[in-house]
Amino acid sequence: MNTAQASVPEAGTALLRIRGLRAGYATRGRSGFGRRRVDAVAGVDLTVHAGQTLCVVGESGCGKSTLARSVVGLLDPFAGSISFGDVDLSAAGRRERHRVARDLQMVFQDPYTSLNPRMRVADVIAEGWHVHRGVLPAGEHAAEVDRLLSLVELDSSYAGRRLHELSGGQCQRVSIARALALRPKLIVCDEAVSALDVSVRAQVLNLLMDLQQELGVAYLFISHDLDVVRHIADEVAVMYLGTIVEHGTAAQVFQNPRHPYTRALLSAAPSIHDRPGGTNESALTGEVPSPAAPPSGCRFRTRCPIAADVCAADVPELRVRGDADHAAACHFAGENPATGS
Amino acid sequence: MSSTVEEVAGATEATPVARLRGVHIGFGAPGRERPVVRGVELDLVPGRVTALVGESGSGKSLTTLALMGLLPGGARVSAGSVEIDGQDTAGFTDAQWRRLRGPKIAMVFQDPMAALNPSFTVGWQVAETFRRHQGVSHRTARARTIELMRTVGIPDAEHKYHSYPHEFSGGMRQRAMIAMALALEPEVLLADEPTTALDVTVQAQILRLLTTRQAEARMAMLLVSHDLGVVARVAQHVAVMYAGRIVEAGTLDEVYTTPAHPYTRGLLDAMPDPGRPGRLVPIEGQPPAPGHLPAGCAFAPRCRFATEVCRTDDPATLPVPGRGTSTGHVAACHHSARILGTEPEARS
Repeated sequence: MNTAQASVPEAGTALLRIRGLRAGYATRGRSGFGRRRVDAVAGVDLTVHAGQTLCVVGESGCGKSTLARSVVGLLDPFAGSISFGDVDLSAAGRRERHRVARDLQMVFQDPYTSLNPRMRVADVIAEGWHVHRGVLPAGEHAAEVDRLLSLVELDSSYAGRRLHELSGGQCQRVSIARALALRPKLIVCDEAVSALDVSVRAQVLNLLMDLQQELGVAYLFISHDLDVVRHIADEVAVMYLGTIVEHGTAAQVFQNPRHPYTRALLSAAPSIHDRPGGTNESALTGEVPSPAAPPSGCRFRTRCPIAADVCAADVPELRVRGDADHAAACHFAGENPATGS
Repeated sequence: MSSTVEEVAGATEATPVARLRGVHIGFGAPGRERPVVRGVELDLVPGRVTALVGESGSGKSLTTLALMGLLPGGARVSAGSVEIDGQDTAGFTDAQWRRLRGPKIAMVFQDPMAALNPSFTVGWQVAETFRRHQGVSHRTARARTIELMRTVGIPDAEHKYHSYPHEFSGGMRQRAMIAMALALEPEVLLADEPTTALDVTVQAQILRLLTTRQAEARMAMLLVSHDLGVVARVAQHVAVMYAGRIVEAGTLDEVYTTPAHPYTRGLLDAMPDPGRPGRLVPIEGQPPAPGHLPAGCAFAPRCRFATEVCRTDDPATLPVPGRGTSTGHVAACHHSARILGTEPEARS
């Protein structure tokens, strides 16, 4: 269990299983009394396979961060189950969750706020070894820190520096080295490259892809940036207002989007091939409704260009329509094949 | 709308309403400034959207603030001139600047939550522009504000007039900011990362609103952005900034399809592109800290084309070779000709 080789599961086997997840927060009721539950994630099923990248895309308020926080145990779900390997996290005791925590690490969006700026780089990376004793004998810490730094392409002289001395890109590399220190099987990246400039973002994305090849680590990659997702994803899940509206391989979702929201998202995303006055913009109007009061039926219907009466009455089911494994939650996904815009 | 764009592209001879001439901006005591912006040349022409592109710390926001006379404390224009409507603004008093801001030049900021006062209603703040500059009554100011809020797409404007900024969504706040900027029908509109804080579908709405109003009123617009995709969607002209200098400028197509500066080239290559899967090609290293520039070309330490001359001589901004002098495509690189002639770096 202590060697990296032994702990890497065979690529392609289900590593993380999320079933019927509901999670969110509580607010005060209308009158200011009592508590009201808001489901930011309202019934999500997802599976991350070993050694692969599952990207969750969506706009703010769609519940993607709530999903990430539930997976790593920063938030207790209201309902549903999350299992990692053969451990059901919702039923597991403290000890078992602690053991799983080793295999399940997270990289946050902003390294300046998620890491303590006054700590030395070496201490940030080594912290996990103090929490999870037995991973690495104390005598080997320094050598392992050097190895991890070289893995994230930082010079070993950085070990003694403090985080406030580093740039954003360097800090994010340290975050990744820290996440790798416990040799996890899955890293949850919540908007991990969103705060970075274009050229630094390319460096960090290359690094994440290289590490996956070398170490077989899987990523649950949360992002709003479609260009980035298209570049690194094996599978893509599109979230809207707490539910998954479309799910499939990256090629299926990007080349043949079936849900009107996915299509709107793809055409709204700016690309360097756009030109002024182009007609590739979506006509999507309005904004995302509050998760505290979602619309009846299909949650997207208030902004949907093709909504009909049935959309207000019935909740569309996320199911395979057409291609194998390519699922969409839209009443019209079957009879309205991609317009390919 | 595409016909408007064509006309604008043809009418390059229009007189600029605002221009920066060799502008240097530095922090520190006169004579010992640390230069942060170095010799920026920029023309803002009616009816044209010019984009200023660059990464954090490149000096693009300071350049924009100089146009508004709003440089932060400690920073000053140490050389060159900021001209608005043919007037050099050097030595302008606060009162003179206030008369320009609003009717002549206006700005949309990145973070509307920080730019709006949380303790006053949105309507009151937009209406203030009318009360201050036109000396009209509260009643008239309110009527004009409600009308304006409608035109920028704020639904139910009579009620929203009385809402506070925190009651607005991010997209609605940005619409309110745009209403404020457009209130006095300025000739120059500056937009500093106007959609960076917004979601993609809302971003598309706001960009459409900005470009529609800009084209209708034939405003000169300066869009500051780090997002090359946003720029491609709205700008006719592009200026790329690196370490305080404009290293390349030209029409959108010139700069995007035939970049003549290795930094522009690097930025475009670092973008994920569905046509080129596999490893991305990042620009190695990091930009120099503002005020701590290497000798010679500031980009040389990161440049794969750099030679000896790049480490000693800072290149002048010159017309790009083989373009003829009329196009306005310029680059500050000793090796533009070589860069134009090489293929994009292959991805392994």
